[in-house]
Amino acid sequence: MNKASDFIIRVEDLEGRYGETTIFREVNFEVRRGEIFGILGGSGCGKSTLLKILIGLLAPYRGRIWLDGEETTRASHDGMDRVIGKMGVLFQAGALLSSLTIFENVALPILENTELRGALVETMVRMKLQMVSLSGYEDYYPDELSGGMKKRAALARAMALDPQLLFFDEPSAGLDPITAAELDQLILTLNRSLDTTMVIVTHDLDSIFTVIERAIVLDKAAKTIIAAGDPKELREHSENSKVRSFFRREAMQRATVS
Amino acid sequence: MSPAPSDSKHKDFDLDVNSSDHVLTLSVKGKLDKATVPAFLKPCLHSLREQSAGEVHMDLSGVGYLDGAGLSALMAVEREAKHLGLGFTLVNPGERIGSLLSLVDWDELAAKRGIPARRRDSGLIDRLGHAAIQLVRDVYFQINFVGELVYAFGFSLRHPAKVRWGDVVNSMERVGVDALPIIGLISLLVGLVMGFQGAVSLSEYGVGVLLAKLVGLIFVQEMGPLITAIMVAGRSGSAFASEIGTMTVSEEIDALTTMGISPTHFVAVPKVIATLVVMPFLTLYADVVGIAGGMIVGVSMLDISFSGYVVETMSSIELWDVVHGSIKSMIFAVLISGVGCLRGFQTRGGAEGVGRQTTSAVVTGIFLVVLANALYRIGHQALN
Repeated sequence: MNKASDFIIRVEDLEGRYGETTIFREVNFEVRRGEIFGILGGSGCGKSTLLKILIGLLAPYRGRIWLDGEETTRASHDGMDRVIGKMGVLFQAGALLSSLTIFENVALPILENTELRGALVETMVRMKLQMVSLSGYEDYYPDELSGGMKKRAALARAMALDPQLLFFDEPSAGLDPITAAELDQLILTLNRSLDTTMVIVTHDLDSIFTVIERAIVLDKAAKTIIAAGDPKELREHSENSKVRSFFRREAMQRATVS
Repeated sequence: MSPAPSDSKHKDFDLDVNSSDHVLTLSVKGKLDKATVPAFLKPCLHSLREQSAGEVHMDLSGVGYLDGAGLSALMAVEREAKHLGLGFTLVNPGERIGSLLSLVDWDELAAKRGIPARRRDSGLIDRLGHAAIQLVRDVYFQINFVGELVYAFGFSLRHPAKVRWGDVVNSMERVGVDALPIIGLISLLVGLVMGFQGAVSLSEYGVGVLLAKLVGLIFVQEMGPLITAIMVAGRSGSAFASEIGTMTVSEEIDALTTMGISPTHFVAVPKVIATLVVMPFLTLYADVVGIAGGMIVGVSMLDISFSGYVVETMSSIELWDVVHGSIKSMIFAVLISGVGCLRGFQTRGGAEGVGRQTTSAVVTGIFLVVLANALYRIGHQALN
């Protein structure tokens, strides 16, 4: 996979379906190593479905995906198994295990996937919690935290193993503006200091223009990618009026874009 | 100066240990991450312990990649150095590691030790106190719920059009029709076993004919209602609790409340009505299948004819026995479905809470059924 070495993700001719309904088709794109990449689009355009296919939770109807050089869409699970340790996922509502404390939630992937134990793990967990400003909440249970705190705890868990590839499903949803901006800064710092590639599914314009270097825009009606490139460029120069409206937060007739 | 040779070899990283009079210089090269940390830490701590006094310099100029595990390992080295009374300095961290370091509060991390205990696992007295408070709250909640359920029922009687009959029919299917195979199978087996046991004992005294009376009466009065109740508690009481529990956890119940809809009326009443309607029929069905089980044994082992067994059964069971069985099964139905719904509404926390309340729904349901059965029997006896 020489061609793929610069690209940590490569997607070829992907088609996603729910039952008989095609959500999107002919989706092709690449994500470069160390890049902050956005999957954008209005509600219902299939960006969450695309994310689920990328992280292996849903099978695509057609098409191929390579993550870090491993094809993950083949019938055997080998490819996915090898890649799964290199990636972290931040789910929209956090998806923390409710029976474990915050500390145990963050420690879980470290204890399950490495041979590190004791004080080393403890420091790693505390460090991650510090990064997301949750120091002092180690012994809380998820149901005792607010939505934003749960999300930050979930980010700490997703980062626990310092994955090369981090997937974010609507990271700023449910966060106050300050926390959302801090999260954006955190994403930028992590990207710079750890070379982490980030794939972010979002429609939050502020964070799109702050963090995302390159993006694809999916559309519900076209059922495929309608634009690709730097969001700032697309806002000014896209030929597609829908894309410009999306980035400018303008209403279109009948088609509401949030 | 006494330069020591490289202490450790790993595929991706290298550690140089340089020890002079008062300065121990540890130079790391390559990757310091979760894979190389164990190989890094051991020689590091070893050379620290050999150093009697002075300064430790950790030279990071050669580090290409450092992750959280690496940072954590550096902190472990610093701790050990402080413990041994040595000074510790990070040298040449570089821009990238510097920005990573700026994300964490090094001193705060160094100050804290010990994995936090689960706060809920506090001392005995604390737990006793919490349990007592919880008990009072539960009782309050239960009284509240019973009141609400009674009120919702009264409301449904006055406004039958407002009951969600579609849900009632759905629940009737799930509680009743879907339970037929398993209740039938268990009743049949219990009837067979009872038949065997009865046939052996009764024919010893030469009164094998009484088998029909024995199996018939026991099934109609006790076994039928109990088997049905236990099966419904296990199948449907648990289902109610987990369904409503999940709705509580995902704020669906709160959403109903804010829309001005009583969750008790909307969610619980259809389930209670469905169970109440279906249970007497399930019980009758269990009676019939159980009696058939006894009959199989009676006809094949004892010399009783098929019609003889039926006549004997019919003459020994009175209509009142069946009525009592039905009344009991309706009491059981209210207990099981009420407890199932109550436990659902009481769910707190996440997935674990749902599991706990589901278990509790079955256990409490069966306990209440057995208790009510005993009380009914005692009351019945006293009245006669």
